Amino acid sequence: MSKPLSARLLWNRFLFMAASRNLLRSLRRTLISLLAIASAAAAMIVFQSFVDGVKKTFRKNVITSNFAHYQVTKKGYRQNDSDDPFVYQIKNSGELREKIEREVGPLRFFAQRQPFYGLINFNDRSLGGMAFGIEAAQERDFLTLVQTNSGKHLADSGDLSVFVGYKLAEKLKAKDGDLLTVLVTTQTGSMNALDLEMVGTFKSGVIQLDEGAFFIHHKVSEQLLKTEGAPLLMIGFKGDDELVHQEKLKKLISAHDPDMELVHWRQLAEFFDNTMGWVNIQFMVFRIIILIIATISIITVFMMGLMERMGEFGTMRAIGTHRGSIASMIFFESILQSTLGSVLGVGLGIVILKVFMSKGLTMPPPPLMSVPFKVSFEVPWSSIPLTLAMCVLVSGGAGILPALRMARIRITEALGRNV
Amino acid sequence: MSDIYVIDNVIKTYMVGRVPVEALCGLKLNIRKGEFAALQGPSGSGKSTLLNVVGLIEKPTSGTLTFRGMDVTRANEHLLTELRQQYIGFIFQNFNLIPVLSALENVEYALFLEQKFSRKEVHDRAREAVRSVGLERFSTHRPSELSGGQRQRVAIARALVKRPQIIIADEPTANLDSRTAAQILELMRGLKDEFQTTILVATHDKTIADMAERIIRIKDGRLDEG
Repeated sequence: MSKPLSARLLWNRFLFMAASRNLLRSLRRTLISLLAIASAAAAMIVFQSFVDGVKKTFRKNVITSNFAHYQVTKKGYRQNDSDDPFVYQIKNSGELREKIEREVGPLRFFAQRQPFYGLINFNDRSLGGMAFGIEAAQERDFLTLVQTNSGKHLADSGDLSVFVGYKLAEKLKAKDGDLLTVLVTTQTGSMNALDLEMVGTFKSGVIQLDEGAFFIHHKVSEQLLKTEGAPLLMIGFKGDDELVHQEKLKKLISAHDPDMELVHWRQLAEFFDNTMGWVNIQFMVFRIIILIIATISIITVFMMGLMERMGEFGTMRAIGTHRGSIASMIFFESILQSTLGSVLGVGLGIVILKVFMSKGLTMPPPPLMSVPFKVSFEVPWSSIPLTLAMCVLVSGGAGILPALRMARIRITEALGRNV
Repeated sequence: MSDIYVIDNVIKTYMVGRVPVEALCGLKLNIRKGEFAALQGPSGSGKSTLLNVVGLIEKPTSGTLTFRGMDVTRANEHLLTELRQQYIGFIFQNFNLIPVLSALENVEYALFLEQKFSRKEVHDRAREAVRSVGLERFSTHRPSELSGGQRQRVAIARALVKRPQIIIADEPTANLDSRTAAQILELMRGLKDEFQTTILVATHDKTIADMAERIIRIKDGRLDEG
């Protein structure tokens, strides 16, 4: 026989009222459960903030170490599929910059880069190195992870100076002010050398660069290699939303020269995705462990409370309460408790982040990097709904098993518990 | 008067560990509509089992149980719950009120449960039931704030508010002093007179037995007709 909806709603409302009062019945037990749920939610919020902080800082470090937001090259440059390494030179880059600023948006950074291999010599030591002809005034401003370790960075003007990775300088036993000789193969195949003053050493945070790279002025590299232009154009936008410009930029570059291509920094820094994938898996495992621990605690504490109320459930069943209603009431209690605990936990997580983690945390260098980095903690607002939903569902779901168990009790046995 | 229950050759067997124990052994009994019957017998005689069977809480192991002309021997759990909800009122020795609900709400529970009344109907009928047991002043009190007698009155109000066809009471006065017990019995008799409710009371109390129209004696799971 079907019952009117309004009466069914009244009954469910009555059950909900009883469920909410049951939560206040054993305050200590409810507090233990709330604490378990709140701790899980708070831990997830703090860890999410940590992961976001690592991602943000690591991203910034990768971009400002050596990659910028985008790089423009001639097609085939990265595959190096020509015998002539200078065939990929891009000339008149100023024209392209003007077009980008006019049609895509203002740039914070646009510079030519000439990577090449050369021998660097000091006294009786000669080492092979990775060299970069750079536009120092621009790079200094954007590629900020390259920090001056001693002396100074290259000056704005294209003087005959060299800025050396600090490990490479150590291997050469060179000091600031020493004259180093750089020997290269020119575009025409002849050898060329220049004496350059070492104005300083740098720490880039990237082990490979610190141990084997040096920077000279782009103009000097043109003179040394007998080239014009550079194979790499580096682009940096204001802010971190470089992806919004990607499609427009791609079209513009393709229209400017169909032989050119645009590469995003993530295509160049594969280790970034690998590292972040690793961090994300760690977070997922952490989340699962936290939720399992919380669920077990909740089931245990909840079940203890329900066992004490078994006689009451026996009475309810005896006077005509259906199994489903008993299960619903217990499930209401569980959901109510988990919602309250999860909201408290999110609040607790925010307080921890704002009060105790506001100064950030210095982390050891990630793979392929050489400098520690500081993770700042921000409240992960966008993750809060998901965290809340997960905590409510999992901890609320923890009530299903006890609810079903209590709904199936033998009435006479349960009535015997009423003393 | 027609029979509200026909109990025919009912056997109820429990397993105690691995040993089957017969609590009711081929019991035959008819209970008439509107009668006030007292169920008596020594401890372990099968009184509580009989109450559980007629209260549709336990199913007979064999035999036939007819309730209001319907064979309910093999009825499913859902139907038995519905029948308990609509036709049977229970009064327990330990009152068995729900501690988080007030006296009035405990009574309302029985009506909300039926899911056929409006909020106003529930409220009015529950208030009237509470008044009829003399507890209007205590309607907002929780069971823990009431005396034993007051709790039993709330339990009676909960049982009678839905105007059941039968009230099954298991030692309803066992935990009460004699004066309160007398008041409770008066209430039950009034209920029987007013609504022709069948009352089946398991009791050791001589006062109740004296008041009953019929004494059903049970011994070793059988009617004691000696």
